[in-house]
Amino acid sequence: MSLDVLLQATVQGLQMGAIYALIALSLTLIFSVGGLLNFAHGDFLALAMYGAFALYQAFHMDAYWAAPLLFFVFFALGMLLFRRLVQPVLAAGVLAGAQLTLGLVFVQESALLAVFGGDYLTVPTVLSNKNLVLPPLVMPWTLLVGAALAAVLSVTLYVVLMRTDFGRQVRAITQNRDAAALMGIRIQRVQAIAFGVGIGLLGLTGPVVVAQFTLSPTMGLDLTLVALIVMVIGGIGNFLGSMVGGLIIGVAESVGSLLYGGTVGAMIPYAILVFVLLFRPHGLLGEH
Amino acid sequence: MSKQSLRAAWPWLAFVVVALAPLALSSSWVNVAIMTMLFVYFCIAWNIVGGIAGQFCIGHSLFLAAGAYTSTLLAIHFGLTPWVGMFAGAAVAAVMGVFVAWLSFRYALPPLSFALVTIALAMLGYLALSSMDFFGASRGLTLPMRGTPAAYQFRNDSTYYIVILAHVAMALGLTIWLYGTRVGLYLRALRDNERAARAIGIPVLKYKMLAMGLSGALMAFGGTFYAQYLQYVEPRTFANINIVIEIILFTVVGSVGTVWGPVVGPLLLVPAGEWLRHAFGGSVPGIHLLIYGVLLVVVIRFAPDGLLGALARARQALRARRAEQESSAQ
Repeated sequence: MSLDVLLQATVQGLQMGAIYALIALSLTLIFSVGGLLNFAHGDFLALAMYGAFALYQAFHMDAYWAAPLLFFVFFALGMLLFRRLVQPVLAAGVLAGAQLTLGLVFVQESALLAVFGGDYLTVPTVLSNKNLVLPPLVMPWTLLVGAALAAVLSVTLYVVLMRTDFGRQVRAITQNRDAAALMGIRIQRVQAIAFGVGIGLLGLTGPVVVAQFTLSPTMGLDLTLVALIVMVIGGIGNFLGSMVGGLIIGVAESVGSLLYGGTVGAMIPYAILVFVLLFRPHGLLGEH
Repeated sequence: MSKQSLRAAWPWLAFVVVALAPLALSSSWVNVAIMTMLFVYFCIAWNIVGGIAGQFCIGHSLFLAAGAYTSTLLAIHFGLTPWVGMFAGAAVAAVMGVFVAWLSFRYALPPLSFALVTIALAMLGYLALSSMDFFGASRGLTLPMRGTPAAYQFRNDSTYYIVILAHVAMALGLTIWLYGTRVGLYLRALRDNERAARAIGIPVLKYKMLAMGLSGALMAFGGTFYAQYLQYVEPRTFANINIVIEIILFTVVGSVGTVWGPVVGPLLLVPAGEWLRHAFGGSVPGIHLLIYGVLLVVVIRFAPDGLLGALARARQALRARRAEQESSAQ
């Protein structure tokens, strides 16, 4: 095994990692303001990818054009779902909320199956089959653009959370919900916006990274699991941790499949999770 | 019979009538009845951890697979009858359950991280089973054909139905017994307020481990039954977390943490799912699952505490209104 191949796998892993980081970051955003563990997270991402597929089929709209459109659609969808469905159930407890999202997994998977069928689908984009060659590295443009955009969005979201009033409100609710309410923060409004932004980001991410995935109705749960793993190893509720965790999982998966083959590569993220929980149960960057 | 013991008895009577009905009906429904009772059994087993002890475990596919694979491997390699193998499977599952509980609860992690640990372990188990040749990889294993009751193989489905019914009856008895004993009280105490439970001296970790071990062992018996009924094991049916999601949703729709909730949920939903598939499945693939999923979400939306919880609330409201009318009439 040459060093070049290893380098290639690492760079590719970092790029996938940036995408994972963004997905985990939006999951963390939703979790941190209401304690809602969104098991349907990956399914929303899958829905966005299928949205890109549908727009391409119907109007030959390129996925990169579909992305901003789907951002607004998903933002609205997220707000609506939160107000009408999630919020009333969340009032009965975070466990009921998690169970509701398990129900949403079921609904979305079967809706995708009913509308698009069970066959594997791919979405071509203007950048498909084009590579950037920087010897010794060969990088597909689709992955490069997806990763770059994910990185930019992650950093933007991070800055918004750290520097704006909305971000301070989110973090205040994360730290102490009752105190935040007493300070005049409108909890439910912030929760709804956070949910909308979290789902909206998935609407934006889906089309941009669609070239990296083969679409199938059951792909969502795997994506959710990756996002959950990243969130936990970074430290639950820790935004920086989610970003670092994403990169770690991306590289581990990519290098792992290169060294040990597909199945073991797929097992590595879960193994990392178990080890982190054994030795650093509050996550790599988590506080005690 | 006093009024109180009558009230305690009527769910049992109703259950016996419902449970014995499929034996009188046409044989084509026996298959549905078996799957319904199997899920009733799974839900009762999950409810011990997920409901009574209130720990959101998504890893029960591990225990299901442990039961199915252990008894099947013992039958293949040593010719051991699954009637004995099922206890080996239950032992394996119990050890796994105790270990998983110990692994997750040593530190006081936020409650939902238990869900994440168990989901990760379940995925590891699924990937391991579908890649290792000893377990038949993704093709799975086929049970050696014996065709005798001594080998846990029956010629007609009604016998399978009676066997799973016996499983359900035992699990139900165990749950009701648990509710009455100190163990069950401890489990419910740590569910309702873990800090308070710890403060009054309940060894929280020990009882969580106990609940997981017990629940895991029960799950494994169901796994062996399922393997015997299908006559094969393979990872996608036995180790996929989708089956756990279904078990959780059925229990939630019934009512988590009650004796009869995990019975009512699957009793309504599994036949409903079959009927929907029968009625709509032919037109568009997946449409019956969609209707089904929407139904589940609607129930959770309007009754987060399940159908039995909603029923109890409705009865309470009715009683309050009646009391109000009586007092205004006076």
